[in-house]
Amino acid sequence: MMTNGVVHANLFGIKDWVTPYKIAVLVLLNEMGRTGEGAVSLVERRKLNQLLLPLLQGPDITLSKLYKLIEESCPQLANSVQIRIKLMAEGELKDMEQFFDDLSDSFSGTEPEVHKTSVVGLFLRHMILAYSKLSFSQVFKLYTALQQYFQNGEKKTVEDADMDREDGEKQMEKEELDVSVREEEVSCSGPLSQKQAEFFLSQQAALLKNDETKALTPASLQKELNNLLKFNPDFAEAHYLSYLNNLRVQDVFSSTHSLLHYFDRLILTGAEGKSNGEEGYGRSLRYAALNLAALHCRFGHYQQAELALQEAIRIAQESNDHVCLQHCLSWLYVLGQKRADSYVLLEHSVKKAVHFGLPYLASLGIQSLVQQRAFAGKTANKLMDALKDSDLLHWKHSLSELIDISIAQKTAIWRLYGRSTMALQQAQMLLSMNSLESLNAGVQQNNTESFAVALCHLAELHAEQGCFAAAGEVLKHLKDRFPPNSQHAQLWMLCDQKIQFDRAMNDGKFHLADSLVTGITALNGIEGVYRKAVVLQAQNQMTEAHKLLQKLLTYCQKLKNTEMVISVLLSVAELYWRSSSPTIAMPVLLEALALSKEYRLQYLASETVLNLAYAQLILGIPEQALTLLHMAIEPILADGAVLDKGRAMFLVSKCQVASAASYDPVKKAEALEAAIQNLSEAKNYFAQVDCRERIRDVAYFQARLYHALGKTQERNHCAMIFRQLHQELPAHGVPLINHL
Amino acid sequence: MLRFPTCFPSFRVVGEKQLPQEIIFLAWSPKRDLIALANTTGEVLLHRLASFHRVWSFPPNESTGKEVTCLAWRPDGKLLAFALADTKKIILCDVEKPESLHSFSVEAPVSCMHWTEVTVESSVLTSFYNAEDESNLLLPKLPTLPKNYNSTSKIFSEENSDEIIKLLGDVRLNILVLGGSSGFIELYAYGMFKIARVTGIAGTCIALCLSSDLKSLSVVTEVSSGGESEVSYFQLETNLLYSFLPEVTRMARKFTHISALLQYINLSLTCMCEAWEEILMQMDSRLTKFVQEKPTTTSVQDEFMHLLLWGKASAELQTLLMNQLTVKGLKKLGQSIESSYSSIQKLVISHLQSGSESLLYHLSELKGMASWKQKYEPLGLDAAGIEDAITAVGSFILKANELLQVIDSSMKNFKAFFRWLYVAMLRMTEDHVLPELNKMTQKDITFVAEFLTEHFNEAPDLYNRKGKYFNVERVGQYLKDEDDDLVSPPNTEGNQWYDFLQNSTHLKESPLLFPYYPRKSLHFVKRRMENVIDQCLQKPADVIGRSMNQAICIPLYKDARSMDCARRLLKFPFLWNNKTSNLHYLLFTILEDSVYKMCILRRHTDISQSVSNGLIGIKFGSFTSASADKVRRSSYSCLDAQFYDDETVTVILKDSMGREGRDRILVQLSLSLVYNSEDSDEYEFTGSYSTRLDEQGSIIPTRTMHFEKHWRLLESMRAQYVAGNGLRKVSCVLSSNLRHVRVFEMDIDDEWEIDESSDDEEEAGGKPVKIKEEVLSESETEAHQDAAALDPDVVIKVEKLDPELDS
Repeated sequence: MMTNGVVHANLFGIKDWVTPYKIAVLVLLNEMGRTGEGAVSLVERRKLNQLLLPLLQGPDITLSKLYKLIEESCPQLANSVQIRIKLMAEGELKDMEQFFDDLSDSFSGTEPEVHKTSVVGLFLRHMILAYSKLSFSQVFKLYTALQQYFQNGEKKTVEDADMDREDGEKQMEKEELDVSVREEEVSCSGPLSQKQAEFFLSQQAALLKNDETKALTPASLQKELNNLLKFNPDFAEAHYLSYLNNLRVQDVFSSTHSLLHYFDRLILTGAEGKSNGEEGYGRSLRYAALNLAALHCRFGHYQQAELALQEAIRIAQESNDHVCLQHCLSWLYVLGQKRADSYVLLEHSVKKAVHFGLPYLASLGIQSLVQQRAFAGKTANKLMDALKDSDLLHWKHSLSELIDISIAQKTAIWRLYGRSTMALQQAQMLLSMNSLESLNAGVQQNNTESFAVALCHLAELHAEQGCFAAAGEVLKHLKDRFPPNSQHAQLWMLCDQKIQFDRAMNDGKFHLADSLVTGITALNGIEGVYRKAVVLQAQNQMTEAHKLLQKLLTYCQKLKNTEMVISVLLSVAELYWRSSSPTIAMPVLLEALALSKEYRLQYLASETVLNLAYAQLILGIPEQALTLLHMAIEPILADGAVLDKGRAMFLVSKCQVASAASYDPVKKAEALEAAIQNLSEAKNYFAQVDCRERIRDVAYFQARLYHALGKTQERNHCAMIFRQLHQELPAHGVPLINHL
Repeated sequence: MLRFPTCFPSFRVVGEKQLPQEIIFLAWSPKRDLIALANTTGEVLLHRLASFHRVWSFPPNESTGKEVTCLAWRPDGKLLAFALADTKKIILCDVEKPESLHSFSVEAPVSCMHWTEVTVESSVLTSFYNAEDESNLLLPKLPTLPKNYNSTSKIFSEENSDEIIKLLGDVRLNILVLGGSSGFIELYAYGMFKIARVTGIAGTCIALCLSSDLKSLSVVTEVSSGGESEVSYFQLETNLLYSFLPEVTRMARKFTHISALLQYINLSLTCMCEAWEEILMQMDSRLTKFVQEKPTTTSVQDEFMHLLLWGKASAELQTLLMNQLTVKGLKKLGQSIESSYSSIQKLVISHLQSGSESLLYHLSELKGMASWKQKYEPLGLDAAGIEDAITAVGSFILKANELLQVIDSSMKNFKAFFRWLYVAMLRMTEDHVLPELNKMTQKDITFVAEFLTEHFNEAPDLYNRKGKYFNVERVGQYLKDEDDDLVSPPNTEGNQWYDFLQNSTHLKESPLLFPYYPRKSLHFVKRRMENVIDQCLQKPADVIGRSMNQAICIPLYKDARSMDCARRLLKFPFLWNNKTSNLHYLLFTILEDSVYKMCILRRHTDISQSVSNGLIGIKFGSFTSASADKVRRSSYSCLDAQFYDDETVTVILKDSMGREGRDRILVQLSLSLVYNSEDSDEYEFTGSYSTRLDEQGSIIPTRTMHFEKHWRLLESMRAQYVAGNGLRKVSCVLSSNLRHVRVFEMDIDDEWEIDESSDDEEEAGGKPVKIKEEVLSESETEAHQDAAALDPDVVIKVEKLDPELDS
């Protein structure tokens, strides 16, 4: 069965096998028991004890490796183990027989060395039992295998010794120490015991879920699984892992095949093993259909998915399985996400899931609801409250994955509302989290979608503040963690291109920006079209830009993508006032303002206010513009991008100058001084993002103001800066100060 | 038209009471008929005008303090502030309930305070007042703190955390001014956040008044030397506050939020510490003892490992487990660990995290303000400092999150470990082990083994530091208020983010990243955060304080009375700010011919402007008719005087000739008569303000006032002090033994008035009130008896009074 994606394979047993490796371990245990207290020093004993667990649980390893491991802990014992195996392998079959007979004695006596219920005791008993079940021919086979195993080991030891001399030890040690599953190791060994298989499957499944890159490559994992299935074709969980593995490589055919096999086996084993066979049988059928629906959904076959889901619902209803129905309901929501009323389904699902005690499903439902509500412009405090309440549950049950999602979602929500500091905090909180599930493979941190999202936000936040080098590093890290062909790579690809696009626009390299548009469009159509329009606008192709924007506007309004609608409205308004008709821009801007206030998109609201103020400035009411700006400046300075900060300060000083026109000379001089101060601020901000075009404008403006104040020296300095920049970036006849 | 009753006295007694304790301070509520009293035991009482009924009392206690020195009402009458000298605390208390809503400490005992509401209007302010606070919409409400923390701060105990907003009251700025000894003056916006700290004024403040247009602050100080004290008047210019009022208001509101949130975080942390119990250390101490006592050389870790793998325990371990820990003890320990950890976990998520997120939100808004240099830099708001504060809060949240992870892993570890140990112990006693307990997956075993290797290492250096060998319990170290590094810091190895961060070149220096202190405790990080925030919140107070220049200093008089007034109520000299005409008034007395002559000093709030009749003395002539023969030659000494409203001063006079019990007079002095425009030129002060005024007593222009109405003889009461309330038209007179209170309704003529305000207007208009030269044939006794006859209530009350009224 699957719980949180981890396969618990122990429910349906495969037989334990006695392998040569196991015999070697048994010899070790036997030696350890025999030597007693005195022979082995305390430190050695501790090391040996620590070694035992991985040996018992891990896969078979070659004899030479085993020797090496024991030798590191206790050379003396390694020696005696080696001798005993040698004796056994080079002796006769009856030596092995004798060994197993002696083994069972270790439990007898007044003071047995091993308690029968302890870890070692259980292992011993398992082995003795497995051995005694063997037929004679099997015993013989085992003995030959042992001989083979020993000989291989001997050979390897000789080789090792040679290699030691050649390469030095370091490299070898590294390799040998690594007890974790390696490709060649696994494939060279015989069939896995039940415990080993269980361990292997659960480990790989968990890795697939949490950190794909750490798991075996799809090909080698498949090889392993095939190997496993060869010995035990009815091992259902292996089929399931194979299904997951096939999903990784997006193989529709094989994954469907594996999934169906999994449920076939499950039904078979369930039917024969359980007393309530009928129940198990029906249950498996229902979930088979449900999983099939999920599979189709993943591959985008929505129609098939819906059919499979309907089947699952039908069977579940027939047998009154509410839990299964709940799962179906959530999937129904996923399938119907495009429809407007789908959240009703979701609300219903959350309520029911809580009622039936399915915290995982309920939390997922809450998170989807929060997302949906956030886009619908519901108040953030309620959403945050809901997330906090579900967080309490997550931590209580330590549902690591959901906690991650919740934090990533908070990051996204704060970004949506334009509160960069809060988003920054949440992103870093997620990144500093270690996985709550302790994984044996040394994985400290998961590598799930949540982390990709948080890292992307972090990169964008850095780019906004002009830390391009840092943003680049974050992107590189993303590339390492989520290789281009992995599931979540698209996230950072889009993010990367957006950042590049924005930089190109700032630098005035429109052709470069234009070339990035294709890439963005491939990943996100709407975004791409919008950026295309922005480029067109910057290149003064107003008519084309306007046409494109109008189309985009109607499309986004239909989709209810408010964020984009507002951005488009702003661009449209800019088109209007750039073509000297600010009066037409006004209603558009007011609409944008109303929308952004309603949906609390702080960042867009400030942007709109800037535009409005600029339009007012053009209309000749700078005093109005100045009061309007008072509203927007603080949020922009608090959370806005550096470029926006500079633009805002620039606009403020323009308005200050414009409104000072009617003042008396003393007051006017004061106002101009204030404006100059703001201009310097703006210049600093522009310098941070290296936006030379705007620095040029500021320098021009500053020079004019100094001139008005009669400060010749300062004026000349600013004029010089302007001249230098102007030579670099000629203003192509576009009036100098006509953009925000 | 004003009409006067034909009979005396003018004022009606509406309440009288003997109080068990001596009253040392009294103040009328500015909006309602409530009077707040402080008595010598440190109790603060609230009484209602009607029959002087007690509404509530705030008893003195250890934590708040026992020595109330002064009281002040918030101008909207919803909050009462009082200062405690012994704990140096200021308590803000709700008028509805006698409980502390907020309290803060000051450096020196406060001797006087004054709470002003700012009345300036401007377009920026109005738009700001109307703007809604976005934080309400974006931040979730802070959950209530557990009940037992209510006593320290009520703000967070109510169902919703909007209490901070409620506590802030109106958006309009109000400022509480505190004055203490050695020139200690501090201004608190909304009575909660310090926005200015003034130094350099000599002497102890005895009266303060900030003008409501925020242009200047009047201070009266007293410098005592050799039994005498010299009293002087200062006027401080507060132009910075005035010209940056919208910014100051915004900043003050943000600051108040921030300091309240800091307090909330502090309290949450205290709750967490309490949820952590000492019993959790039991495992550590038992094991340490075991190590100290056991004769063998095997380590604890080995013993347990052996038990896990081979199922056998040494005799020593068996004794430890069976006799000391015991099965029962293990169960109990397990339960207490689980309950304690889960309550800490809850507190971290719901209180600590949301509290610090709110804090971060407000700080980020503050950052926006600070970056607007033109507006906020003159006020001392420092953008770099605030960015540091944001970083510090960020680190704190990261630390809190780390604690959550530690709790989570500890819970899991302990659960697995205890379950295994429980089974092992049952086996030792050869009890029956339930099959469901017996089941252990491979994962569980690895888990226990890892736990043993990680947590059961003997650490001799730890023993030197903490007196124990083990640190199995890992949550407590985060909550201890110690400077030490964490005993077992979390393992960040293998965390891809930190590894990456270590190896990065640019990102490492990114100002946007919050540093993470892997070796520090939560408490340490919190303290660091508090320091950084305090620093940037303190700076404006210093900057604004420094800007408040001492513009005017007028030495007033030398006073030998100060000694017997050690516990004075006092009031004298009394400061008043006339909001409509922007004037500061100062009432004081000068000893002249063994009579205290009342003087009124007035100044414009704007220092650059002057005002006519800057100083005027008042002599009280007669209280009867002009047929001078029948009137005794009395001279009246002013005992106490207080502004009743903008136009009226309530005065208590002592008749030097009067008999005991009939020598105190309560008078309403109308200023329109004092500042009579017709002959005001004759009363210009010609002396110098730089010389002490009592030395120039003879040249102080003095007006002699005659009264026919608006006065009353205070029968059988050694009245000494008065407190008037012009809004409710009541006054309260206190006897010199500080226990006898009598309350008067001052406007009984209003029964003829349709509109109360018309009265004020007419008086303000300075309509000449003709002092009728009416002949009263007999002395005041008759007059009083007349009144008493008319008002049976009073008679009854008088009869009920204690016979030893004024002894």
